[in-house]
Amino acid sequence: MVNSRFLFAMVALSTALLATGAQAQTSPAGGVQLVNVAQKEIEVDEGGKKVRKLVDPGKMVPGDEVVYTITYANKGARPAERVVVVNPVPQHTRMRTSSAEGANTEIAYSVDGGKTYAAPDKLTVSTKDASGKAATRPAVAADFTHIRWTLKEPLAPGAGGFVRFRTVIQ
Amino acid sequence: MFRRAALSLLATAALAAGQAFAAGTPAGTTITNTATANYSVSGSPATAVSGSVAITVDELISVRVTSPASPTGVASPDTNRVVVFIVTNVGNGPESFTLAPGYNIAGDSFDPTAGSAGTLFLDVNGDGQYTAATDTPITGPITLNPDQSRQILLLANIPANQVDGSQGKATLTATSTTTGAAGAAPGTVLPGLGAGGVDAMVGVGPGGATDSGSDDVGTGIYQISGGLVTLAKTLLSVVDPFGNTCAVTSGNQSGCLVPGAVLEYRVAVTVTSAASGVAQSLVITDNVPANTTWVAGSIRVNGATRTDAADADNANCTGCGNGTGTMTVNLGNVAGTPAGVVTNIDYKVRIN
Repeated sequence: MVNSRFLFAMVALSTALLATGAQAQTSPAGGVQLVNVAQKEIEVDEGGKKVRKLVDPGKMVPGDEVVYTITYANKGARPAERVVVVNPVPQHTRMRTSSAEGANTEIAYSVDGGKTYAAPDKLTVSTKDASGKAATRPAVAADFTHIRWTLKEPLAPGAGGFVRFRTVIQ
Repeated sequence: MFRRAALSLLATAALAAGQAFAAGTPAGTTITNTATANYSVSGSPATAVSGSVAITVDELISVRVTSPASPTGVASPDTNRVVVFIVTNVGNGPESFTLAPGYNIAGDSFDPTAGSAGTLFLDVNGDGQYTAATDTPITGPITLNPDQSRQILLLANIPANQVDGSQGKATLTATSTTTGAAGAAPGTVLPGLGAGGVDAMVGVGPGGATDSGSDDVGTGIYQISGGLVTLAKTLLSVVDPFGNTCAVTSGNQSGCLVPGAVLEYRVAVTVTSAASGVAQSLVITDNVPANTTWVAGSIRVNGATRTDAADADNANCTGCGNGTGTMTVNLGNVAGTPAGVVTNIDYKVRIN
């Protein structure tokens, strides 16, 4: 998994951290580029109006919400087709219900480590009923292991957007 | 490369599901996140991977003291009576806490004082009782891992001349020893003072958003429990000299109550306590009625036969005879319950 491109990404990460905190990006030549940012949402008073803002996460402890925003952009000269963005729900966190968003995308979830994806109401997980027999129950956000955003349209050169989800540190 | 990365993510996800951190992700843990995009350009597949974004989990300082659910029933005066507290580290890093007893608490009707044997003890065997040889006195801070609890015994002496039912309170306060944590508002950051050198943050206490999680106090109640014992004496049966058993509830026993008839009495002893009150050294006595003669060997306690001699069993009727003597049953310490604990003492006399 560690190759030269990834090492380069780590270098980019450390410089980015100096500048903006928890942010990282790769910069391969051309093609689609992804930037993943972790933030927290706070409420600030702006001229008597309460405004919600995403800021650097700062100190995080169990129970805090982390907002992950993945920005994608096509830096290449040709359209990118069938763009699918996948993000695992990070270890030590659980996804907040209905928190995944992304304009012009179809959102699906996995409960099996990214092997299969489906809409939330189609997902079940194995459990045991009261008598100890194997059974299934509808999946909830805490069961999700991966989130998948499928762009509905090809991504034209120079175009981009973002997808987002929220987790709570366990 | 993408396929291998996906597999390793699967492995970590499975690991996460198997670990249960009720107190939360351990302090110092790094949470990383990486997004991947698959796409195609002019029919050729391509992959983009975001950089890995990392968050370090800081130490949350939070402690809870659980108070006993019901009052401890005591006598007045009394010594070394116990209330049991549970101190739990609900933060996500190992943390030390000082423990302090409180005896002079407002809002009660008497003040317990420090126990003759000491104040705070670690309940080493977890039985909720103070055992001098086993339970160790608390002389300094205790260190608890995340989620770990210790049972703490607070000992108190109870002043004399308190009325039944009155209550005295005692408290246990646990406070984080991290510099600057004690009483600090939730959200206060203590740079570099968390487990392993990460930052520490003061958590929220049980009292809500403004209650510091760095300390907590539990309250135990001592309640004077007396006057718990009630006696009820009934005529259980009457057997006439010819062996006929007569009804004892009809009110028409005149044909039965003749010289030579045997009367069996029952003394029902009921010990009641709303708390954990104990009737201590409970002794029941009843004199042999005049004009009757004691029936030897007739004492039964809850149906079990007792001898008349003053011996190892808990009942006797030494020197009992014709209108003389006293039946005695020593029940010892009897713990009461809200519903009442009943002991039935039965014995027989014969009408002269």
